[in-house]
Amino acid sequence: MIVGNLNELLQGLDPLTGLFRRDIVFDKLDEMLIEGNENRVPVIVIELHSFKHLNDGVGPEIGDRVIKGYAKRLQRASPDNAIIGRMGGDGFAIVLDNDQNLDEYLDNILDITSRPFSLHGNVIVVDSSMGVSIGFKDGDTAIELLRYADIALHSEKPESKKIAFFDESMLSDVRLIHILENDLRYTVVDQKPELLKAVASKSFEVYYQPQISTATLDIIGVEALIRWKHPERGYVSPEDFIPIAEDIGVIQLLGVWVLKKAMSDMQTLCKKYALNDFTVSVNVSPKQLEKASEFVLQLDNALEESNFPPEKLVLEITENAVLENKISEIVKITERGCLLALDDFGTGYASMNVLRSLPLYSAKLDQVFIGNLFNEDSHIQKKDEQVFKAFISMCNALDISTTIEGAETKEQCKHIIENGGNKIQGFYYSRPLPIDDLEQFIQKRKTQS
Amino acid sequence: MNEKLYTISYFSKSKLEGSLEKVEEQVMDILTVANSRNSECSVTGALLYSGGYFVQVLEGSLEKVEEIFESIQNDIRHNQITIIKNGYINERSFPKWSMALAGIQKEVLPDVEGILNNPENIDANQAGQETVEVLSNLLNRYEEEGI
Repeated sequence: MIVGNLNELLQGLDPLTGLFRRDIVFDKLDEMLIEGNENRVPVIVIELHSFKHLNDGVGPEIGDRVIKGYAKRLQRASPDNAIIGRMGGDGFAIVLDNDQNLDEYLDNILDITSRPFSLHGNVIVVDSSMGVSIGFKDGDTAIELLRYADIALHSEKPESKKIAFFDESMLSDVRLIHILENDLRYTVVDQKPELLKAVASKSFEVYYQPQISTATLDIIGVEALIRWKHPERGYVSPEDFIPIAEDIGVIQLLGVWVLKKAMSDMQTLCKKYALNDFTVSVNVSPKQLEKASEFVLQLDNALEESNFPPEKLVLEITENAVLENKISEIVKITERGCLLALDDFGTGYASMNVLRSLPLYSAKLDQVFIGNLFNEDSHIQKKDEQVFKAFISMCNALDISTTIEGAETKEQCKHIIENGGNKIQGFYYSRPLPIDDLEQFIQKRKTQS
Repeated sequence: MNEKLYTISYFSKSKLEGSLEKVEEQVMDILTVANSRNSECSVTGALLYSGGYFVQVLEGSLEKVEEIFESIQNDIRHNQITIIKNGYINERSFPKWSMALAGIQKEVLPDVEGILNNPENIDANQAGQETVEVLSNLLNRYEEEGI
């Protein structure tokens, strides 16, 4: 059995169904498009409805048999030269070499696959939908066509309509989240690992927001912040795409890329400008911490590649990460000597126990408390001022350095300095900058000092 | 070793085209293939063509019945397949036939109508039993009268 699976893997086949793997479908479709004859190339993506519920209900063994049986039906109902692949748990793709009788073929696939299965005494009926794009009409590359077929699949349509053809209006649809999800998937997941770095560099950027010491007013660190250069939508805010990246499981890939890029950039800058006590803070998602041991390996690799000293790397986690992961797992990520910071303090669910139990180097007060420091509503102002002071005093007592985010005015900065905050990060000093602008910022401050 | 007996009965809409004679020919082809395949794996059952619908009962070992049922699912000569009953049984209802022909009728038989009319509300056990009875009766009549 193991040997059989290995053979299939080596041949680019999905071990369960014997269909092509996702990456092979991309390759084969691209080959077909390059060889391109006159024929239009229909690209069909199929998704089973509520398969997860079905799987939970009947168990994974029967669930696997459904997928296997479904795949067989697709094969039997398709021409011999069709490229049929399994694209994920419950997703399939079919590429045909011409669009003759396409409607009839699609109706037939839908009919055949919606017929009941009898599997180990269980009668199971699965419902599915299809999205279709047409090669040489909607696009000329596998990434475009599979993405467009996927957008069509998830386009808004009456429940009874099971087949949707892509059209350009779907791109301007308001269902931004789903489109971003698709785009992220195709930008990150569908790249071969060796190409990922290049693709990430083209699609994403790391910006750096300076952190200023309240003691010296020098820049003593930066926070690395990812930006997505979307080909059609311009810069997409991390607030919009990070939750999606977490949902679809690409946050690990993106997180590691940011880590490597930030350490490599800072290694160069620290050397060039002899920045000794300088830290770079990188955000770590709760999802990355779910596999703390894997993250530590990625971290080791990134540290080795960049030659960046671990004691200058601050890993920022949120209060929610602490809630979703065991403290013992979080502590693992500091094993290599990296520093740990608690981000957005005060708005999540962290308890005092977190401050006590984690080996924190720094805590960042959420910017919401700073925004109100000079609010005209004196009631809010007074309360936030007390929160701010309590935060500083508590961190001082626990020997945790404080970083105050969101300082936008001179008044706010003055207040932070007077009340004993250690670092300020906010628009008053600088917004997040691309690496070249950060270098200029450092040069300028060096000259001034 | 006595293997547990399993049964599936279903009805489906025929996609066979042409005159009744033509349809008869095609149903006989289906039956020939079914008989030869079923006899190899001790599957028995009965098939009825009635007014554009197929009604079929399969019985045998779970593995073989499911295998044959799956190959029937891939046949494009019918669609709208609805399972009437599936489950384990104590004895075969059609022990003598690899696939008995219970009839080829141009119109939907009144006996079958009840089974076809309410697919959403099928009481599997009752309908399954009814199906077997309808097919058995038809089979007897078919054998006796050659209709």
